[in-house]
Amino acid sequence: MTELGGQLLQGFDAALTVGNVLYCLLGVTLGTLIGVLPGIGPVATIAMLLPTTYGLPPLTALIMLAGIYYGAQYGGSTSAILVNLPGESSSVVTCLDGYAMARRGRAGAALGIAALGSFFAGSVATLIIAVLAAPLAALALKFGPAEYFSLMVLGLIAAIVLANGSVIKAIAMIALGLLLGLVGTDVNSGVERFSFGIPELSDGFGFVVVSMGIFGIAEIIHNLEKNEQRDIFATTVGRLLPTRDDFRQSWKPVLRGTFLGSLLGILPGGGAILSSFASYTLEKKLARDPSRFGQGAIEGVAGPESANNAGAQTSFIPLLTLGIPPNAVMALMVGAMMIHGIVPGPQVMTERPELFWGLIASMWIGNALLVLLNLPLIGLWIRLLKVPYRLLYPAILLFCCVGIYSVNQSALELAFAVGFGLLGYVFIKLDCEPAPLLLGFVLGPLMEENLRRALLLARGDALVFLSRPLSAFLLFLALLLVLALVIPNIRKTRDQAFQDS
Amino acid sequence: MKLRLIKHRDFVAGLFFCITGLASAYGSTAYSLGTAMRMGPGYFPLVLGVLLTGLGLVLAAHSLKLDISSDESRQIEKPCLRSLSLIGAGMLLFAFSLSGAGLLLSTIGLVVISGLAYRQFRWHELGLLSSGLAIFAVAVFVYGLGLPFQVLPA
Repeated sequence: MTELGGQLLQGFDAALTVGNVLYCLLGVTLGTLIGVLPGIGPVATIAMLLPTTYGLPPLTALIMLAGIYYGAQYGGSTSAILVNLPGESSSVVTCLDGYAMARRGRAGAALGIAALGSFFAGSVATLIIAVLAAPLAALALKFGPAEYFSLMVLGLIAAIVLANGSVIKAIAMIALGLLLGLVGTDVNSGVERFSFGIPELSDGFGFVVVSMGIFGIAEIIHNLEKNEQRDIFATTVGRLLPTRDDFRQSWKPVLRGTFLGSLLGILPGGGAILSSFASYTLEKKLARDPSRFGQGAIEGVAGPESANNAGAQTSFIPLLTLGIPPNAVMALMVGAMMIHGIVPGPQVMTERPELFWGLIASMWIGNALLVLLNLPLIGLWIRLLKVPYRLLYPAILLFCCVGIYSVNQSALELAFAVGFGLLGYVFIKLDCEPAPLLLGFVLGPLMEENLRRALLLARGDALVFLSRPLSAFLLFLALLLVLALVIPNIRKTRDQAFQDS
Repeated sequence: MKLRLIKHRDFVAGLFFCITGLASAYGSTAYSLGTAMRMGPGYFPLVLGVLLTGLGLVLAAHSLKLDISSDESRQIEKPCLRSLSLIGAGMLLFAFSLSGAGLLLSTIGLVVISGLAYRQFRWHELGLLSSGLAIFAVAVFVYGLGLPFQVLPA
């Protein structure tokens, strides 16, 4: 425990420099901003800002980018409560009871409990990361290529849980992402694959190009056709501090949400979205009077808001200890680390302790800053919600263009991004969730490398994945997940077929 | 029936996956396959291509079954060609004019063209927005962040 204290202290030492605190503030402010504004999420924003972090020291860059992600969880609740629009997909369930509270003139209490619950959850999650990181990283050091391959299979399968809708589509999107990731020079043989002789493709598609195209640009095109309307219902926010009664009703949901979110965040495929949905369902099940939910029950705000913030933070654990991104935002963080010459994985903790613990400490600092940003400054964010989308999207587009172009000063890469934007739009129209594709894209080269290495070491014996106990266990988990996903689906389609006949 | 089918989301998605899978499987035959022990550069993409093709076929076949149940909600919504083409055109113009025309003019071009994608656009608003953003971009990206962009036409 004293060792942990020392490490955390070292982290605070690294994170509390003036520059790092300022960039942390910048990150969480940006995160709140895009969280408040519907139509632009943390994935697109982090992709956009990746190039601007080239000049920063690695720790500073990671602190800022991480701040955007958990900051967005705070901001998302603001627009969910005030305008009934989820600024962030993880705030969808907050709309239900948060907006209902606002309509009853209790917007302030909803905002207050969301921020305080998030802060509590964020602090606990930071501690959980600090405690769990060392044992998990030690375990990861025992991993060989076979275990890594099986872990990635598990991660990708788990990503399907996140995608709503068809399981087949999600798997196909993963396969497509893996294929996209293979474009460029093959590390084992030096052969250029699928690059069509275009020099810009010899290193493969840029991460920024793919993610910004499929998420950012496609999102803008899609938003434009929806002719969105925003009415701020609650012009008076009211008292921000929840009453004693509110606290009495919410402390248990906050605790449960924190626990659930922390747990789901660690699992591959988890993160903020899954956590908030799970927490809402749990609170509704546990409530003495479930009919209050949807009518402005404060538990329906406190639980999910704590859960999504906890989940957002603990999803850093697989990234930092195993080097495996559990969701699209963490995939971007891999990109960010690579840009700075850091290979994510268990060795980060031993080789760059100041970076590792500094990032963890910055999360607590960031959460504290977020409470200050979100409660006293709420008026500012409300005013921001009144900026119409027609003025906003050209500016967002400009940031996207400058961001992509400045990676390599390449007009062609920007043209590729337009292509990916088109592809992303097609995916929206065809009801194909793009997040699994991005995960596949990041994991593709890693997965191939580990597969080839594992088979080489085992002299071509594919049973190596089953004969090594850890690898077999991971594959077994993946199989369980597949079964859990597929069986109810079979039942549903069969039921449907029966009803039709 | 035929028309309904080509409007069916899952059918089109299945077809798309199928074609992409076939194309990449075919493309990967250009690289050496190797053996399972010593995989060549073509092995992994070939496996993925075949997998993708198979998934596409399953998806498309499944949609045929659902199509008989005449589920209208699975039809593809009409794409919005206006925003698609204007946003794309604005970005491409920005990409290829930046090195010649400079950041100031390219930004104005991008904002005005992409701004037209909003149906109820107003000219005076677009004028103000584009010039404001152009000045902002030069100030922040060139002078603030020091990105190596040309400001004025060469």
